[in-house]
Amino acid sequence: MPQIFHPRINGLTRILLVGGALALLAVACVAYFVDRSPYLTGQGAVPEQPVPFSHEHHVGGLGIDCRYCHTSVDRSTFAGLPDTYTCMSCHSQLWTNAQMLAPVRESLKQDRPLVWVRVHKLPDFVYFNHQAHVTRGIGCESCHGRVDRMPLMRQAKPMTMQWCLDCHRHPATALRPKDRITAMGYAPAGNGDALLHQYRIHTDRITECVICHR
Amino acid sequence: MPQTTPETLLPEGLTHTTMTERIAGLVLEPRARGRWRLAFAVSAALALMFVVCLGTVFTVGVGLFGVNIPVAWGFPIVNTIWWIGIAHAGTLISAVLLLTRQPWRAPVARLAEAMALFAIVCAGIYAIVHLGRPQFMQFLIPYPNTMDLWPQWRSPLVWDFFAISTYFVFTLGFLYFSLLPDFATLRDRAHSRGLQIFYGVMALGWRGSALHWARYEQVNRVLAAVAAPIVVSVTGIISLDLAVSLVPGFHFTIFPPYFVAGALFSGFATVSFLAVVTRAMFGLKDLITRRHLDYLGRMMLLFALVVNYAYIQEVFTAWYSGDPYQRAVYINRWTGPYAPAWWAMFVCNSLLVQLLWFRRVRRSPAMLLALAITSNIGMWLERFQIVFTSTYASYMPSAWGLSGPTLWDLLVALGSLGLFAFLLLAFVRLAPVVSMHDMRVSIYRAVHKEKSGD
Repeated sequence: MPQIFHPRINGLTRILLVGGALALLAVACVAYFVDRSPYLTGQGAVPEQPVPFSHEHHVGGLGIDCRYCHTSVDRSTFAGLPDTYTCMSCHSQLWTNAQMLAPVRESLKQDRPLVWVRVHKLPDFVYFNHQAHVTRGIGCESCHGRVDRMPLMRQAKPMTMQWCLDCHRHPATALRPKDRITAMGYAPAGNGDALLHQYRIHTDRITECVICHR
Repeated sequence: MPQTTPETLLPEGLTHTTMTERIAGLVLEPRARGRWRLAFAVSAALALMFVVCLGTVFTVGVGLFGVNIPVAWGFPIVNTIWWIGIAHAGTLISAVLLLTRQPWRAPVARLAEAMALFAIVCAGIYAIVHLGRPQFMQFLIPYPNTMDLWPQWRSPLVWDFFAISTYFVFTLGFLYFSLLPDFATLRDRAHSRGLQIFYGVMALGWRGSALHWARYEQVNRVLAAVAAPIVVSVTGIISLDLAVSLVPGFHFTIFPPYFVAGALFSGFATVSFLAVVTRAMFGLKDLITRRHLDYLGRMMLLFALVVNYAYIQEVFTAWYSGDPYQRAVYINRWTGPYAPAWWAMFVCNSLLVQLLWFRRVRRSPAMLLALAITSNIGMWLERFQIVFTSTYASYMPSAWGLSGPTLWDLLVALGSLGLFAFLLLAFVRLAPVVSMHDMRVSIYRAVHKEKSGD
């Protein structure tokens, strides 16, 4: 009976088998890293805003407190976005003719709010609460990064559930005293456990599903 | 069981050559293909309908099924359990009968293994359908995701996933492994270059050397030994879906062995069905003899009796518990709105199977075929009444509600039967329906015994 397959097929089959296994492994590795890449998490994204507002200038340069504009951050789930009057409390006196601020003046004239674009988006099944975080020792910087160094606002962190849980599992490392919540560039003083006690944070509860998903 | 000798299970004068020519011929030079073509066309159309219906259900949502809030599972879980049950006898026949060296195993083992594989495919699809939100089925798999989310190990859904996938991988491996020597035979007998290459690739370089056979025997025994616990664990795990809940009618510790017995009963019924159909369709009446049918009928009867024992135990436990809710479920099964299902099940699984006590019934292909069909209907009704009557009326009368199948339930169920038939018919066209190498062993033993007897 003649040979059906060339003897080289044996070697080729082995190469294909090993290659197939390696290819599967490679696909799994690529999927693992793509899933965590900024491409999918949106980390570092800078959405276009109606006015190119610079946090670097207002926070870093002028030293305006976060709560001056984000007024409801310690009272509500939503931090709050500044209305046109907040902008105009300074800009009715300063840079009154700046081209960059034309949309703000237009907003005031027409009595229509500026439509800011949300930078830090969470899925609708996540019930994030700003008040619960900033009144329990979590600084703005922990999630939003060094906004005092951002000429344009960008998404500082990956905002994945894994990233949330990293902190929910070990909250002590992120805690700050009450007067340092809005500070930028704060270095933890190593008193996390004392703060955990002071804020009465129950570490066994804050990883339960219902804390964030209702 | 009386002492059996391999001679009586084999036709007179069957040699290695004539047997191989006949079985391989079924694949390589098929004759009288009209019936196969017709069956294949019908089943392919049904399988296509299955795909279309599932596509619609996945797109629109499981609201298309007749599920509601007291009866939240409905048809999909009934059919999952039914298909898993059918899958079970495949492993029992191929593995346990191999380990216990039953001589009548050879001509029906391949059928049983193929049946197990394709039934588990249907069961797996139904298990995904019954999730409700099948698009999130990946949450059953433990994989490193960006949510740091792990499956809920306390959920029977996760146990199901592991049970079904283990069983699928096992049956696929076991079936394919036993096909290797037969694929090699087909490769060597094929005339066209295309078939030679196809079967050559499928045979994975099997040369039939002594070393190959030694390894084959070794691996086959190990796989068979691994299979024995799988036979009892997979359906046992599926039964825990129901048994771990606190619903009266579900909450019984007897459920795992009860479901295993039911699974083996329906599995043997399906093997009997396929054996009768195959021997008629491919003219294998001398290889799959009436004696084989007799043994299959005995196995059916054995497991039917175990199932009936479980029914009695279930009713006894409900009565003995003294719990009015437990008792009410049973009274309700006999007299409530789903009573016809219970009584039909009783006729199929308790009364009709008693005919199998008679030798003439077991040896009659037509009777065995009819009983195989009624047994499978009975086993389907059993799962139906367990799922529906236990949940439709629970503790609070305000939460009661009847549920019935919609057209989609029926179309998907019919489609799954179509898919099963489609896969099985494609299989018998591409691979030998009877294991040639197992038959060779039987023939060798028969001839050898004859000579040593002389």
